[in-house]
Amino acid sequence: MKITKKYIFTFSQKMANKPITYQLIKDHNLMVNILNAEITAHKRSYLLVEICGSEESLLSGIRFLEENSVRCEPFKKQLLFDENNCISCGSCTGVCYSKALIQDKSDRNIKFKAEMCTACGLCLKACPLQLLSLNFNSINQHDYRK
Amino acid sequence: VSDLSKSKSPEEIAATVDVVTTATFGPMCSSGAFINFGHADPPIRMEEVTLNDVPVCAGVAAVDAYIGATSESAQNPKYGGAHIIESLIKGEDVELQAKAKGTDCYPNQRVKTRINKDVINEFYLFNPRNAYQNYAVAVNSGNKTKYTYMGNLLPDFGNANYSTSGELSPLLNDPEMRTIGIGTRIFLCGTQGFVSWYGTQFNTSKERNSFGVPVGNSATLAVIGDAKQMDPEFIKAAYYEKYGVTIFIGIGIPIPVLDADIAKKVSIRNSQIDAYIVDYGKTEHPTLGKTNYEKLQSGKIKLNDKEIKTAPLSSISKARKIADILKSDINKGNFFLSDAVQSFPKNTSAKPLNQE
Repeated sequence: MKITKKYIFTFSQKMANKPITYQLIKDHNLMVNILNAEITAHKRSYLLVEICGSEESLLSGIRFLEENSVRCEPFKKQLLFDENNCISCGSCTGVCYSKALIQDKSDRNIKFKAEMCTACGLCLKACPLQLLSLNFNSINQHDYRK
Repeated sequence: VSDLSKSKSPEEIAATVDVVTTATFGPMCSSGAFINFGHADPPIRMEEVTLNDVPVCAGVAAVDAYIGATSESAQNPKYGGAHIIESLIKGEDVELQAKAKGTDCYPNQRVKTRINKDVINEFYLFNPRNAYQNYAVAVNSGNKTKYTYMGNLLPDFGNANYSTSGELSPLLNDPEMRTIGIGTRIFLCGTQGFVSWYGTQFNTSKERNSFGVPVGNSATLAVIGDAKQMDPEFIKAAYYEKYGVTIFIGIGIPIPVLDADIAKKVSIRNSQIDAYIVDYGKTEHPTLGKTNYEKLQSGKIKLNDKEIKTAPLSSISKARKIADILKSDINKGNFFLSDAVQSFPKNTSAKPLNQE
């Protein structure tokens, strides 16, 4: 049975020139979809990926990365949405192209689907109550979209 | 009632429906609160006043002040008058600092203390311009994101933002303002308030569509109510990126269905309310087209064959909640509809500011 999971890979400068996604595909038989990335020569870099494969492939792929000092964190843990204070204005939905933040057509409340999120970070600035945050340093430190 | 009108005539609606409750909950920059701090001993004629480092307008007598919602802290521009108002409503303490030159009758020159809603005298919201009757939809044709009071507008028509609750919006349900005027009792941020005056930039000369509603931003309301009684669920401080501080205000207005004409007006549907699409990517904000609230609320509109994702700025879910609360308060006899003391002026327009 195939499973699909999202991970944030964080790695240091010396790993930046190694083709880790190529190895995940070729050696570990995983489908890799890069959703977001920031590769910087002088500091830590990250990849936000969705990987799909059998449980064994996934485990061996992650083991390979960790042996090579790539930190692998399941992506879900990184997203923070203060839903209790949300007024459901809808501003965030206008900038959310991955449809992770959507307005329910019937009750008009904002629904957040963590599994759809690509961590583009646009919603952080769109929310007038600042209820969204990415618990991820690279994104918080500087806006890679500029 | 908009749904009811599909099967019933205005005459039938007028005979069966007594009141329609309308509401809106959106960012309304032109808001603020009057506050009276009480006199210190020795007394001070406060001339420069800050609350948590946010400057407030102190040019009204010795210890009166006006907290403008959009006034911002010099230290933290994301924090402003709106946050002060929200904190005071919640019962939180804020720091008051006041300076004065000192006079014979008010010798004190400095005050620094903490205040909250229980130790101050009057504290009431007085918003000069709320509840815009209609508002243009914002898009951005440029190649960079525009950070505006209409939210973040993505480049190359990446999104279209709109504000107003459409068919639920108060002034779109009584477009001629036959039942809404000076003195009308309303729901204001969780308590009962009043329409105190016509709002600033009150403009009744805007083009109307075939259903009698204005296409552009036309009428507005000035409203007043006791902030000490307000519910923080229906008033929220906000900050729009690179624009500034603003405040979400919840307003509910009951419209008595006096006759078939009003029954027809309150039956307005989203598909019958038009709004212009305006390009914030260009300084002169040219109008690019027209759409309606049915399309806007569907999640996408079409402009020159391009499909654009839409997003609201005002909360429909909170507006519905306000309309429901108002309905239940009226049913329980806790909220009494009032006649306007005076109608709003007709044939008004808004003047631009000419620069020398």
